[in-house]
Amino acid sequence: MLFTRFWFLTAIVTLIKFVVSEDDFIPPNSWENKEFKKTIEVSNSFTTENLELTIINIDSEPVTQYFLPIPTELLPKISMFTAAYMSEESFIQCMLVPGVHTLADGTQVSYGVIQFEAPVAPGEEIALLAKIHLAVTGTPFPEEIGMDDTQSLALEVNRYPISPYLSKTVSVDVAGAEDFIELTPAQSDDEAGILLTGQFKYGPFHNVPPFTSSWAKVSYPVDYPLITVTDLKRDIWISHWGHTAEFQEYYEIKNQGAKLKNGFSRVEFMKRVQRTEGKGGNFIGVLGLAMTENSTDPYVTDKVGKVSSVMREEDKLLLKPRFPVFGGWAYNFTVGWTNTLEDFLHTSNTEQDAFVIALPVLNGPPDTIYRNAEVSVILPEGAEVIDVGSPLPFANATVTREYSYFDLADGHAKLTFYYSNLISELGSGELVVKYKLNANSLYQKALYISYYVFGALMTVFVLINLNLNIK
Amino acid sequence: MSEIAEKIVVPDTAVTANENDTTTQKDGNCVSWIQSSLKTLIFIAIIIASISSRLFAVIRFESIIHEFDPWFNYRATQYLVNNSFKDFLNWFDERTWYPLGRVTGGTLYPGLMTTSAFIWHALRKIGLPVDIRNICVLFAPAFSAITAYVTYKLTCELKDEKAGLLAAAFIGIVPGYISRSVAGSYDNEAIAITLLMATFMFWIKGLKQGSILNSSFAALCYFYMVSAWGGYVFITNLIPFHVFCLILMGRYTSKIYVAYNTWFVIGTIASMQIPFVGFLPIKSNDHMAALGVFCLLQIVALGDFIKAKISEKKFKVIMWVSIILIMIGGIAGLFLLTYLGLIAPWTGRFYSLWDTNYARIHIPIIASVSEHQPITWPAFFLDTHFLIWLFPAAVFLMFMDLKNEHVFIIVYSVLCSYFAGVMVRLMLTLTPVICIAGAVALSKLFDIYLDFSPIFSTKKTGTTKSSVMTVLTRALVSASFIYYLYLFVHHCTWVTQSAYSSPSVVLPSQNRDGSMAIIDDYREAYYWLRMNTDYDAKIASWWDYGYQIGGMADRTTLVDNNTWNNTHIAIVGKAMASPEEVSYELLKEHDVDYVLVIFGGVLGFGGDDINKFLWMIRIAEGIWPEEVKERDFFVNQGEFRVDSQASQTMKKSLMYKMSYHGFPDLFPNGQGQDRVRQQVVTAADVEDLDYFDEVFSSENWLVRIYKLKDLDIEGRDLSDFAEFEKSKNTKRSSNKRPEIDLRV
Repeated sequence: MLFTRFWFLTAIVTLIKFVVSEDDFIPPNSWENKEFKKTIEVSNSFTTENLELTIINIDSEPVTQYFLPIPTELLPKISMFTAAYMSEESFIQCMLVPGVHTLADGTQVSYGVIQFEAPVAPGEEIALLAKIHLAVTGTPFPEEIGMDDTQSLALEVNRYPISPYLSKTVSVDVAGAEDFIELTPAQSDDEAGILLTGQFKYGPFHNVPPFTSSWAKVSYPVDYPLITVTDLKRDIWISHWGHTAEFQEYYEIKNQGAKLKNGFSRVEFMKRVQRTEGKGGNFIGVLGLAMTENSTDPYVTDKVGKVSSVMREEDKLLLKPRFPVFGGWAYNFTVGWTNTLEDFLHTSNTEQDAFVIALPVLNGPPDTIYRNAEVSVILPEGAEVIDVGSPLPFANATVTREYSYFDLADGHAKLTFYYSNLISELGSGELVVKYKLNANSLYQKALYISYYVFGALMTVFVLINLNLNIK
Repeated sequence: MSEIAEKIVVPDTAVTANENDTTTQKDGNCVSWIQSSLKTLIFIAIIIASISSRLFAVIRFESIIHEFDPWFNYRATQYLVNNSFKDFLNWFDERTWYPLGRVTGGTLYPGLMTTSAFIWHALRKIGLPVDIRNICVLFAPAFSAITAYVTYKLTCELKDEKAGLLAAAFIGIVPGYISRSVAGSYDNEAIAITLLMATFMFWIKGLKQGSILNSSFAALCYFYMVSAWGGYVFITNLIPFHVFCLILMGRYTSKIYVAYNTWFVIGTIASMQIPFVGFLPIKSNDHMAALGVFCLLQIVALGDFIKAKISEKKFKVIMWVSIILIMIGGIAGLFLLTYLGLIAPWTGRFYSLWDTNYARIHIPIIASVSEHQPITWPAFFLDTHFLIWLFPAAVFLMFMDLKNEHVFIIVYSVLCSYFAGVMVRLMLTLTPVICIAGAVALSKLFDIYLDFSPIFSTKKTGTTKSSVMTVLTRALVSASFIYYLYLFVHHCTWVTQSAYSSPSVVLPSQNRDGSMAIIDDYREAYYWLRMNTDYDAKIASWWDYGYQIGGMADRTTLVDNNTWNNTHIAIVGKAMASPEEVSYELLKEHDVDYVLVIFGGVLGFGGDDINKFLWMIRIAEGIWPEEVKERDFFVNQGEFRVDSQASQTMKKSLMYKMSYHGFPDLFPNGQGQDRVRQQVVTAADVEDLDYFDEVFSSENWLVRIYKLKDLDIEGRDLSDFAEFEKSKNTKRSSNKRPEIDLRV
């Protein structure tokens, strides 16, 4: 409950430079894992790792940090890393540190750190839940398939949850697909995975020494497209004149699934659609774009004009791309809609002329990875940014000026957040912007326009009355 | 008005007369105020009507560039907006006519693009950052409003303001002009007609007054016109012809001398500044008339001068001798220059103006363009409605007046009527004169028949009976013509919305429940190309789609709608008409990656490549008569068939294979029903493609894209390889195919 609803409120991953040298860092051996259960969820086009931990402080003094090794190559792909106590509904601060340690099998790991608020006394036992959202997915296996073949993905998983501490009982589950095949044979029968219903299980193993690692490649069928938004430009225009918040999003999407071996055959595609009664498959036939609630005037265009194959279903826009997007294919489009300002705007009670606006970071299609996202809030003319808050870690944030229709004065303040490697599930977090806008600047625009029109008319009047006659 | 008249007629005393004078002046002021405000109101109405009737396409479909040529203009405008003007003039486009490229900056008329870029920049300056696409789409409607005003001014010179207002209203909504100026048809003609009318208006003003100012304006408009449309040659010939007629009619005055010389000298020098025109005005035969009349005018002026100085008898001798000498010298000079190649040879387009069959026999590429076909009679009525029969009457009325400006309109109508009959596209230049003439005739009619003042003056003049008859006839005539006007508006709206408002990029169709659906196959396929092929991929398609591929798919094309190189087009024609192995080699030589064909058999779309195939064959045959023979594509009876009776050459041709690849599988029992040609194509007729892979076909099969297979790694011939693969898979291919119905 806690994770699904409120994680975005408190959990903020901070990327910090760790003080220790980056060459080879081994955390102090102050914990023992009584139980370590790792579940890798692959039912989406991104990966979620759920870790259930019961840990005991075996050190002689109180400890505040617990380290979780994460393969270094995955570090930049992490969308979100959170942890919480299993017993009470509160979050624990988490960090990622780029210190590197090379394991016996050559795997390079960095660490996620769980930082307890109060030091944990020696011998104390704590039950934890940690969750790592990764903007990665398996790679198509085989890479090219025919029009009617089933698409499979291969994912590299470790048979052990790598830990710098001794573990009493550990297990790794891969869950979320109908069938699993282990592509790399295990060293011993012991290590081989077991196929359960909708699950592939490694372990349980007992008394596993620190930094035990053994990689396996698991493949599983996936009959849905792997939607990746390579670039998203999301602009939200705030207007106090029109009482509207206008959303405009430009998507560049790509299906990361298996490519077509023999090209696209329309006959076979039509047969397939008829056979499956239009249920879809490993191609993007229809994109369900979520919009904000109570939105109006939705539209979809792309670089050659209006996309007419769009249908609205409540707060969802069902967009049929111009062509079915098969594996390796790309498509881009712009979608937009309008909301009334009251849906997002709050007036500050304490300060005069101050407003607070809370806007969702992402809308868009479900089950999607965003490689780069640029979310901009364009404030009304004359508005000044006081404060901002983002629920997700961002790479950069800028304030620039944007000039639009009849912006004859200073233009709009445009606040832009740059994110990378997001997943759609995190999008409901709210971007909060506090800004100042006094009533005078509301009328400034009208005054400016009338001023210029008057000037133009006067010029015309003077020119008409000039008499250049020689006679 | 009549009351005022009576007051003036019966003055009592000097004092009252004075009083009446002031009231008359007051009333006069009042009347002129009402007149001018009414005029403004009428103009606003005309502008609204002419713009809004051109917006059907935007409202029913979307704000999109139409057809083919506008896509090039749009692309060029985008280039101009993103680069400097200098870059634009020096633009070498390596993404068309691969591998030749096109010196685009030097082979286009930059007027249209420059104007929209100017508007774009100007709007930006006043805080309106309008998208360049919207400027291009709404360009033609905006200029149609200006055309209406200029036509009004021109007609005012011919008759009066009443005729002018009628002409403005006619030109605003007449389908003959709307056909090329609906929103989205971003073509040179959109601006050219405005400039054509402006040039003529200033020309007539200059001629009437002998004014250097107005003639200079005419020359500037002419320069603008030259920069915008190849049809400027029409002005280049019409104005000299007008002057020539006036001289022949013995109407030479110094006014003509001033007007023509000003226009010719400034206009010619200015027009030579356009890179694409360059030295044509002194080399090409199209411009010789203007130069000739210029010389003639000098001689006439000299003669006029001499005539004033010497006796008539001596003058006659001088005149005859000089005329003979000039004629001999002129003709000899013309022959010599043509022989030496100093002046351009007579072009094919020029011949086809005189002999409608010339092009069909000698230059298939010219004849294959639909707008170069001769016009049909119904088209005249469709495009101008009742003006078409008012037009001759008006020309007759012009003969009655026959002032210099009327001679101009007569010359214009006669020349243009002939040319419009030769080529459909020239209907566009005829339409304005039809409107002007129609307006003059109608306003003459209305001057008489809409004047009901006899009712008020019955007491004084004739008997009651005759005046009742007069009123009745007048009412009848006016009523019927007002009814015609009503019909005209009705007709114009109907023609505009049903015939001229389709973007032709999207095709309208109907859902099963009767609601409008859009067939968007072109954009589907072009966008697929844009998103999923290499940026440098080369696309081979018939030239019709070149501009659209350049504009929408943003990919390099082999040939496009700027049909300057017949041989290059013939290469694509040959590739389409040849068997696969020949085509493959030919296309590989030209680095082609993808081949795009349009196939309407599923949808029933008649304008597809199989129907255009004969032109491809003919054009290819013109270059390689030994390798491509039109005869081989026909069956014995001289029929062009695509079903089982089709000729072997036809079935082996790349175009046939690509169009029908997989098509029979779509139907139960493999009996493919071609909806365009109403013939049955079975699986046995369509041979497999060994050298090409289908990579994409649009939803309704309208656009099909094939990729050239890579050369075999082991150096095998691709057909042998395919044979080998087939023999391996014979078991699988004998599986029964599931039956499926076509869902469109």
